[in-house]
Formats: sequence, structure tokens, C-alpha cells
Amino acid sequence: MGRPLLPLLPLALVLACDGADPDPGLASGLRVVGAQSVVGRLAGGEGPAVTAIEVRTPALRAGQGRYLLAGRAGPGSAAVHLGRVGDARYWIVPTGLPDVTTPSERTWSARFDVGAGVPAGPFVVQVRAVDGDGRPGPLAEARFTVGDARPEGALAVELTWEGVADLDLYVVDPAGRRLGLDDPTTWSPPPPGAPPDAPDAWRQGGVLDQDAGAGCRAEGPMAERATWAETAPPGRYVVYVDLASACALDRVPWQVQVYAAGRRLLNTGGILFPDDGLRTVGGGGTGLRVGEFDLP
Amino acid sequence: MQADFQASQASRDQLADGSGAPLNQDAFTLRRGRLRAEDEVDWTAYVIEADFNTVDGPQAGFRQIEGTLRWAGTGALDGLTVRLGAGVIPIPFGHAVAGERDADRLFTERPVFADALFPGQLDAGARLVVGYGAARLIVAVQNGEPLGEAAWPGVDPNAAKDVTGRIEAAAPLSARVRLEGGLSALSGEGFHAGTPPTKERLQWRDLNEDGIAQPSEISTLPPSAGTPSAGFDRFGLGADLRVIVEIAGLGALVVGAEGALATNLDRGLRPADPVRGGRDQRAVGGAVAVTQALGPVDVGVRADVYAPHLDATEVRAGGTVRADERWTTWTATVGARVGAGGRLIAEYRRQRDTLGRDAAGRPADLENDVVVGRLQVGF
Repeated sequence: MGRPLLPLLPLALVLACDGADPDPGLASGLRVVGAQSVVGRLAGGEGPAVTAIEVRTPALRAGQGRYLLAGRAGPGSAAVHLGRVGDARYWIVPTGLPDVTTPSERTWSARFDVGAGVPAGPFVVQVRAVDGDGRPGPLAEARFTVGDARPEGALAVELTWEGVADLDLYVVDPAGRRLGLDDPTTWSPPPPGAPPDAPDAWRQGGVLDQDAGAGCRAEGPMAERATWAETAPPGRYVVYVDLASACALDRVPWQVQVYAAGRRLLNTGGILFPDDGLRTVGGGGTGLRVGEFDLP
Repeated sequence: MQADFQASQASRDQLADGSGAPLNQDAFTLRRGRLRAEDEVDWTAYVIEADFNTVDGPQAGFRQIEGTLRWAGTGALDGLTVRLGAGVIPIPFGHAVAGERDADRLFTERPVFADALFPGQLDAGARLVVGYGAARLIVAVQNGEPLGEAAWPGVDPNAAKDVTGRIEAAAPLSARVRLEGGLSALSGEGFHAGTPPTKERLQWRDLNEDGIAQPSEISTLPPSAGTPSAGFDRFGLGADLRVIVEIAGLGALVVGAEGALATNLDRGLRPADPVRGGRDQRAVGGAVAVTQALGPVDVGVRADVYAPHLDATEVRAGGTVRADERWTTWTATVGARVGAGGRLIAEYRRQRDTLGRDAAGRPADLENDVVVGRLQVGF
């Protein structure tokens, strides 16, 4: 139901309440990107069934998003409804093209976000298909688990900033190896002729996840994270932040947090101004030294 | 000056997920605050109009600024007038865009199609107006970038100009009945912006969605070359007709209709870019309105419809079908004239569109009806 109009126009109110709900559903734990949200909880029926659900990863994080949930629905299905157990809303996603291997069934897919307020624990998404008359089929479930929001791994250095700007994170490890845009991993493959490393040898090194804000594009979160997945060499680490471009901003608040095995070692922040880009080294250096820490 | 209070069903005390813009639409707004100076001296005339509003935050700027050279025939040419104007001038397309002042219109806004095709109604250029009796021919050459458009407002990115022509006339059918109408046409060239070169980028795609970057998920996007800009043809054709009947003891009854066909002309609601879309964007819009004066009170109803992309498609129920994109608005308005330049207006707009989804996933009307109260003064 939409918000009532002025009380002095009851006729208008009566006429106007048969449309789709304009509420963006931002208070829901499950938010399906680009989908129609509806107040209510899902119940099963005799309509077409959801025949397959693809859960790419069962582990979710509160406040993160664009997770993929996809599957197939039975013949005659026109849409699927997705709703998290505990939410007061569900979401409508039209089915897509026929499945390649089972042409009588239709594919569907959705990208969804997890609300920042969702507690750690089970995250159950109910799914049902509906036919062209809106007749629902039986309920199916996709089960996830929402984990702790702190970064995983032996060591994680995370740079976040506000607004669309191009900042770059650099970390120099105790051996003097620099992890950053030009060297996105501290692990080096063995030279030609040397015995190959174990398949998971890369996990001994640090890895930078992305170049956020590159080209001043507002794609994804404004954050970069350097992660040592399993082990990190002990010693002193130095963290740098380089302002490649402030884009259209007149100031860029930033924050750096360091976690080791889930324990926070460093929390610092500040503000960069467009002129700071002249002093930092966008062309090959490492920018402003913003902090250091010792890893035992 | 027009100050509004609006209440919308779609209003929410939230920020938009993508842009961060407020979703609240229940608010007081200074819709239009206009200062206008105009005069005619000998062979010349001018118009300067400034606008102040709070539609997108406090804004102050100019609107129409036009200088005109004028000439009036005498003797055998009596009744013939010629005006050559230049500056920021109205686009002479249709009654809603160029023939009706905001202060005179009973309805609080123009039909949707008029604002979509000609956002802001004004564009920089020159126009020639030739009048004879109650008939006028208007030909304008303008940049093709109206002041209200999102991409290039008031800035012309290409050398091609839009040429708009309009012929309009009025004729009395009897002592109490008058007929007015016009035909409009536009031809021009739009602009598809190219892209600048990009530097190399590091991209992480979390293929297994475990939240941890792994070397197999990290790739480098090579620097890309820029792409050239390109032009595309656009076109519009419009017609409008009004019948004005003076009813004794009541006032004027006005029955009007207006419509437009357009190709690649939308610059407001769903801006056309056939270079990106791969096909022309054909649009059609129209409006029918009836207003009646009842002494100091005016009442009116209007129905307007706009389909911005007749050839749009979408995947639905396993196949590709034509998308039914259509905005239909029913407007009911009551206005009371107060004194010489005052007016109180109450309006209800029932907006039917295809922005929502029904339970079966089909496009459905979104609840976004609007009630507007307006206080207007002018002097």
C-alpha cells in the first residue's frame, strides 16, 4: 500500500491503491537489486514449482551485497518471489529465457544485498514460482549463513573512503615488498626451471583486491583491502594511501583499519584534499605514510 | 510566483539506494519565482526573465533573454509583422511548450510528453516570426540542447542545429466561439558522446563469493582507447487545436487537444541515444484537456499519455516481447482567482505508468499519485 494522500481527498485515496508499492524496501534484511518489493510473507500454493536453486556461496556478510541467487522454475512460471524468513517484505523477479538443457523450464536470477543490521547466523531465503495469473507454487528454500563482519584472514589491511574518488592503498611488508596497484600480490611464482610451488602457495602472500574508484567511476564500494589469507610474515608493516584523484570532491575522508586474525591492530583516518594529490605519488610511489604496526 | 505543497504516494523518508537523493516528495517547494522585464521601442524589443526556485535545491538563473528587431507593414502591407529575435528563446513546437505561459495555465505542470521532448522549453538560437492578421509563421534555428535537459543544458556539443517551424492561426467561428490551432515540425541532429581513454585497471571478480581475493580472481583491464562521438538524426511533428466557447453567465469553456510524434527527440524523461541503443527511439504523446471558468473559479480535467519508446523490448515469460512503456496522467484541477494576479489551485494527478511489477512479474502501475496545492501571485 502506498502512503495515503491528503485526508481531504478520500476519493483519490480509494482510486489510487491498486498499483505497485513504491517503497524501495531499504529496511529489509534481503534486498533484491532492481526488483519490485511487496509487503507480506510468502506462502506456498499449487502453481509451478522452483525446480533448481543455485547458491554460489552459503556464507554472507551483513552490509555487503550483489550476491547471486539463480535457478530454474517449472513450465508456465512467469516470475519468482524471494523473501527472507523474518522480513516483512518479499521481492518479485520475472523469469528469463528457457533453460538450455531443460527448455520447458525457465531460468531466473537475482542479485541481492544483505542489510547491515542483519545479525550473524542463519539467513534463509524462501523462493516460490508464480504463473502468468499470479498463482504461486510450493515454497523452496535457499539457506545461507551470515558471518562476522570483520575481515577474514591472517592479516587484512582495509582502506575505505567517502564519496567517489580514486585512492590507492599500498602496504610494505617486513621484507620490504610493496603491495599495491602495480604489485597486487607479494607472492611470486618460481622462476623458469625451478620446481613449481604448491597449488595454494599464493596464500602465503598478500593480495590486493581491487582498484576502487579508478577513472572516478562509482562502481562498488569505495574500499580497497590487502589480505594475507593464511599466514603473514611477522614484523613491522607500513601503510600508505595515495590520492590518485579527488575527482569532483573538495575533500576525501578516509579510514584505514588493520585486522590480524579478527583482532584490530590499527584504526586511523583523516582527510585528503585535492592538493594532496600533488604531494602524493600517483605515478609510481606509495603516497602518504598513514600508519605502521607490528605483527607478532 | 508559484509556491507548492505536494503530497505523493511514492514519498518515503529514505535516500535512493543508488544516487543517495532524498525520496521524500511531501514538501513545500518554490516551483517558480519569475522576474520578467520586457519592452518595445521603435524597431527593437527585448525580454529578460530570471527564475528562482527550490525544485532541486535553491537555484537562481535566467530563462528567456531575447533581443528582437521588428517591423510592421503599412499601406498595402498593413497587418503584416516581421520579428527577428535571437538569444535564449522558446522552442516553437506545440501549444504546451511555446504557446502557453506558466502563469496562465490552470494545470500546475505541462503534459508529460511536452516536458520529455522539450525540457525547459527554452534553447539558445534565433527565430523569425512572420505574422499576418491572426496567423503566424515561426521558424527557429537553435542549438538543440534545451535548458532543462540533463546531458548538455545550454551547451551545444555539435555543429548541427535544430530547425523548428510552426504555423499557427486563430479564427472566430461565431461571436462566442473561437478556434485556435497550429502545426509544428522539428528536424535536427543529436549527439552521442564518445568515451575518453582509460588507464589500466585492476579488477577483482569474487567468483566464489568468499570475500577473499585470490590470484585467479584478479585480472588487469588494459588501457582502452577512446571512442569517437557520433551524431544521429532526430525529428518531431506536432499538432494542436483548441475550441474556446464563451458561455454567458459563466465564462470561457476551452476544449483542447495536442499531440506529437517524435524520433530520437526525448531529452527529458528517457533521453534518446540510438547510437548506444542500436535502434531509433520512436515516441508518441498527446493530451486532451477541458477547462471551464465559473466566475472566479476555474475547473479543468486533462488526460495525457506518453510512450517514450515504442520499440522497446524486454524478456518476459521465457520470450522477448515488446515492452509497454507508457505514462498516462489524469489531472483534475480547481483554481480560484483572487484579485488581479492571485490564484489558489488544488490539483490531483493520477499517474499510470509501468514502473512497478505485478505478482506475475509483468510491468504494472506504481503507486505515485500526487496532490498539489499552489499559491500563485503575479503583478
